[in-house]
Amino acid sequence: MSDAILEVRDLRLSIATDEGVAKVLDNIDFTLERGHVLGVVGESGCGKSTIVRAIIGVLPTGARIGSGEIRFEGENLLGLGERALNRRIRGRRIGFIPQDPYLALNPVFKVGTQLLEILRWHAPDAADGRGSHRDRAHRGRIVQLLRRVQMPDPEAALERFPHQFSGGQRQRLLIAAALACSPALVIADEPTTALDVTTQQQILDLLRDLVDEFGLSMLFVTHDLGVVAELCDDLCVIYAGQTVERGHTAAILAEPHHPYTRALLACHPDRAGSLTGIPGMVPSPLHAGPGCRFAPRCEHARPVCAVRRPHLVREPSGRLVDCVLHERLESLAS
Amino acid sequence: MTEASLLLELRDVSVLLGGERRLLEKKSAPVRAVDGVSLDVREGEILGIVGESGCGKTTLGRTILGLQREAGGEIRFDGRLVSGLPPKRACIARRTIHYVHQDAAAALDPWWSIGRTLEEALVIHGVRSAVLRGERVDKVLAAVGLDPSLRPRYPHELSGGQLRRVALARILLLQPRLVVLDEPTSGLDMSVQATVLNLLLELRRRLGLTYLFVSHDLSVVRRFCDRVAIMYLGRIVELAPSAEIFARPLHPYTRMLLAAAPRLDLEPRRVRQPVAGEPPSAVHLPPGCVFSPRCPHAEPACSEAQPATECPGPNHQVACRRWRDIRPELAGAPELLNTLFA
Repeated sequence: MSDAILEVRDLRLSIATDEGVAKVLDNIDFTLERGHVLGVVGESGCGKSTIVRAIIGVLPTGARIGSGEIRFEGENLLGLGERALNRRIRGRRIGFIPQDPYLALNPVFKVGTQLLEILRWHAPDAADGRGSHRDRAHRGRIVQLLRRVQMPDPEAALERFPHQFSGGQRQRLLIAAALACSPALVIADEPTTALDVTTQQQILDLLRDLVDEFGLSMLFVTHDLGVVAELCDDLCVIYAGQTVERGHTAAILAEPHHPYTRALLACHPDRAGSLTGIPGMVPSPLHAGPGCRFAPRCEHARPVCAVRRPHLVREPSGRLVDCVLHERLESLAS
Repeated sequence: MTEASLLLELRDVSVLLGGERRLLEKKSAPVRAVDGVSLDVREGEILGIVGESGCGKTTLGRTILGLQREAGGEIRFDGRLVSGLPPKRACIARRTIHYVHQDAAAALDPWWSIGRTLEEALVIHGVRSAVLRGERVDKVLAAVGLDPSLRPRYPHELSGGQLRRVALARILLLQPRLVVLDEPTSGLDMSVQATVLNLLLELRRRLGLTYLFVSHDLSVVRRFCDRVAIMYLGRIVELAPSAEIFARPLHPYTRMLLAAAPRLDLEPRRVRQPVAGEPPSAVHLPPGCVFSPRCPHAEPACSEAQPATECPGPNHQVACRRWRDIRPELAGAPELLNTLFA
């Protein structure tokens, strides 16, 4: 294993609801290499956003982490308190780009006030001096960043309110906000779903450039496999709170190994074949059994699938597949 | 397909939005949301209307339906003029045109059970017998692949895919001929999207429906539609059979749109010229060709007069002055496209 910036190991998380305990994450396991873009892909309700919230430590009430660890630059984030997270990690080492650029900015404050606040909170010592002198230095940094994310007329932009920007420009503001404290890791939660395709392409191009230029690592959460194909080096596919397959994006898209990944790709309109969909429904996390959650919809399912999770199979190419079928293949090979 | 089977004809239809005077406000100039759109929809086909948000595709759908009054032009449905009629008569004339909302959850009354929502349409259309209504509701629920036991349930109890099916069931009850589908798969997961699209195809085959498919998802449109109209700022810039428009897009905007759409194809990451400019708003329309401010091939003459619609092929229409000068093939030649945008 080379240089990993973020490792999520066997993460289990449950949320207490009125109807019982929902096992939202079960066995989430992936690695983000430094300087790479890792796409986390899954359908709605599979736990993508919960993973992100677990990493930055903003879980909903009633959430309880059962086991596992989240290692960021070698340190287990789950062992850190609120104060340490705020002072050292959030905003500072991990930047976050939210899904909806329309909701993430406060409509009653100027953009400049909101962006400067980030630096004041998370990196007060990023610039020399004190008081207004320091504010001016911070301001200079923000203007520089806005220029880098191709915001037209950055100086004037600071004096405007969020409603005066288009969706694409707002997303640029939020990217600048995420980068304000020069983080090592950026987490983007479906940053382009609210945008048109042409704007989406502009934002994806920008993100790719920023990753290459600043040596950022990025966790890119999405449900859009087309976007993944464009942007991500590596891919982690999630189904109902369980990781099912991880590996290089191109390899997985060319030849998916897990039955779920295969079924999901077959649903994509770009793929030939009839549009069949996947029969059945995503199981409720309230009544999750101990086994593979895809088993009830899987055409290759065996009795053992409902009873236990498969052992993780690492293929020679480095791909990881969580499937009983591959367990068998591996034991045959050895 | 013969000429006789035209179901819907639009001739030079324009729609103005806003512009009315409100209390204590200055009268604002109306926005030209749809401008000079001519379109034929043939019986049994699926016509895709594609464009970015704000291009007027939803307004066009609403106008065809009669929810929005046209400011000019002619609409013929099944050979009869349905535009310019008084509201009541327009409503009767367009009775068999129906609309499926973009957000199925928002289109259903949260306080009404599914069964009651579905029956309402039949009540309005004068089906008196409750038994008969119940039978028809059960039948249509089965047709969209839902269990009749869903009748007493409420919208919040159903999943996104099920809600779409209910929305479809609601209009199928009224035996439509033309269905305007407004982004029918937006917000759905891919596996659910595939089943919904499949259902739409099956219903078309069984009931002889015609669809007007409003969408911004090019992958879906490519798979699903027979013909595609590309809209930009209220105008149709290109119209062609789906296979042709994806293989040989002629209008620069169509090309930009196709190049920007994320694809699953396995070629290494495409090196593309970035998309230029921001989508402008319909409030301040540029003079001449509306796309000219963002067009890589624009010349001064483009911003002087609106381009006429030309026919480069038997089924192909394009509204661009320069389509002849800029026509390298797209299919299999992405590098050509890149030099084109450079």
